[in-house]
Amino acid sequence: MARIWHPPAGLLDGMGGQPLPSVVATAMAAAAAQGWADPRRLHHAGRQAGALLDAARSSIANNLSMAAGMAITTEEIYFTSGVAAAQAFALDGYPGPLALGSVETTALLDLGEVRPATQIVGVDAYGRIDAEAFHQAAATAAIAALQVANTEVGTCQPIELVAATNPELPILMDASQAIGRIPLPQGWSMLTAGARDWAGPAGVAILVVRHDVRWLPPINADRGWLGGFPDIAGAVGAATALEALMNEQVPLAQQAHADIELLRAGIVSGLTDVEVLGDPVWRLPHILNFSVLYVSGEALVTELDKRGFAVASGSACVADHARPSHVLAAMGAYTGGNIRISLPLGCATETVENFLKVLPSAVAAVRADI
Amino acid sequence: MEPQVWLDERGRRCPLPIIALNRAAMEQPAGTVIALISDDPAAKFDVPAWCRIKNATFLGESPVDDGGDGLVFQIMVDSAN
Repeated sequence: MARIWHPPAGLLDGMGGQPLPSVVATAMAAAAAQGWADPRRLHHAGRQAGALLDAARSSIANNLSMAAGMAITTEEIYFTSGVAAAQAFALDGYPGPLALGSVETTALLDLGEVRPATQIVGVDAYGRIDAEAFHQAAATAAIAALQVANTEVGTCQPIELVAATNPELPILMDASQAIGRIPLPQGWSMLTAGARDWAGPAGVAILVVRHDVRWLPPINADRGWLGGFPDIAGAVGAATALEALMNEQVPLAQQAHADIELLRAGIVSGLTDVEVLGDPVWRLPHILNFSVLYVSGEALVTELDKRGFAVASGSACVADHARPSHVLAAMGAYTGGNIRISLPLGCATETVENFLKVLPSAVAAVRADI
Repeated sequence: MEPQVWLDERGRRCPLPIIALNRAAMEQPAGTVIALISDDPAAKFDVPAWCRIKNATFLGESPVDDGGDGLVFQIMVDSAN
């Protein structure tokens, strides 16, 4: 089967976005042409829009069941506009103290900050939460929030261990970057993910609430859409893109895993004064993070861009708030000269090989400039 | 322990304070205590991390005496440096 993803050569920032596959764009255009009416209306056009939304929801339930290794029903799936919104709806419907890790997204940490009695648990040098400390925090928590894996450094979180040691504690699990990349862990109660993570459209995310969770929707969820008017084309695009990823999940993950191994080895052998971050083994297949000493992250990103490679960085000079990534800080990692790589879907191995060829000279050029 | 070397890197941003620290550490014998003054927000994270990577001993951080912006970081050069 021909691959549907065609990221530009040199794109190593898949988390920052990749072009929408043409099959997804085509499905969205067709859905927009047919599904323009309010899906709650009883007239023909309304029913047509409703059928498209229902079919997208059902398709996502099927593919998510495959990703999660268990049956998820259509009624358990809610659409909303983004992962942070999905998390806010999840937590709004589940009051009580929250326990979360210090490397969760800044949006989730912000949600925790305004909630009473939130406990933030620290991480080790790989960015993995201390399961024992988390267990202690769980004693007084009503709900926990954890990512399947950290999206900056790739390290997986011990979700199943947390679930097993705290069987009464519901876990709100953010599966961003993990759906379709690794088999999802068991033991979660609510799940969030954004369609952009599987090369679907922006502005569509899902919240999955298991049927046995005592969650009250904070607002009315019309036809499974939380907040705002349902984006029917967006839901169809999300479903089409997830289906495409799940069809090729295994070969894509194997290739990404091998390409990241290649990168890790090449970075360590090709550069001096470099620290590769995150768990080398128990990780997302497509993410790698490293810090290069004695260069600025901003200068290195710019130098690599000049040479045709798009990468992200967690260094302070690249962030819009002039502070280094809170993930790197929580890990005790070196935050300067930081480079975040996330392989887009369909990334060619040649892109990784060519990156390794230019990286030493790009670092040398930036170091020589200082 | 009184620092033998003082580096005032205020007003300079990453990676310049760490480059200055590394240069000074390479020139000094093992056991030398270096004080680095920096107001770079990344220094709080990067000075201890640099010490870990370079086998130097991170002795701690304290506010600057004159009450201005920035922190004083103290490190000890290790024999393996």
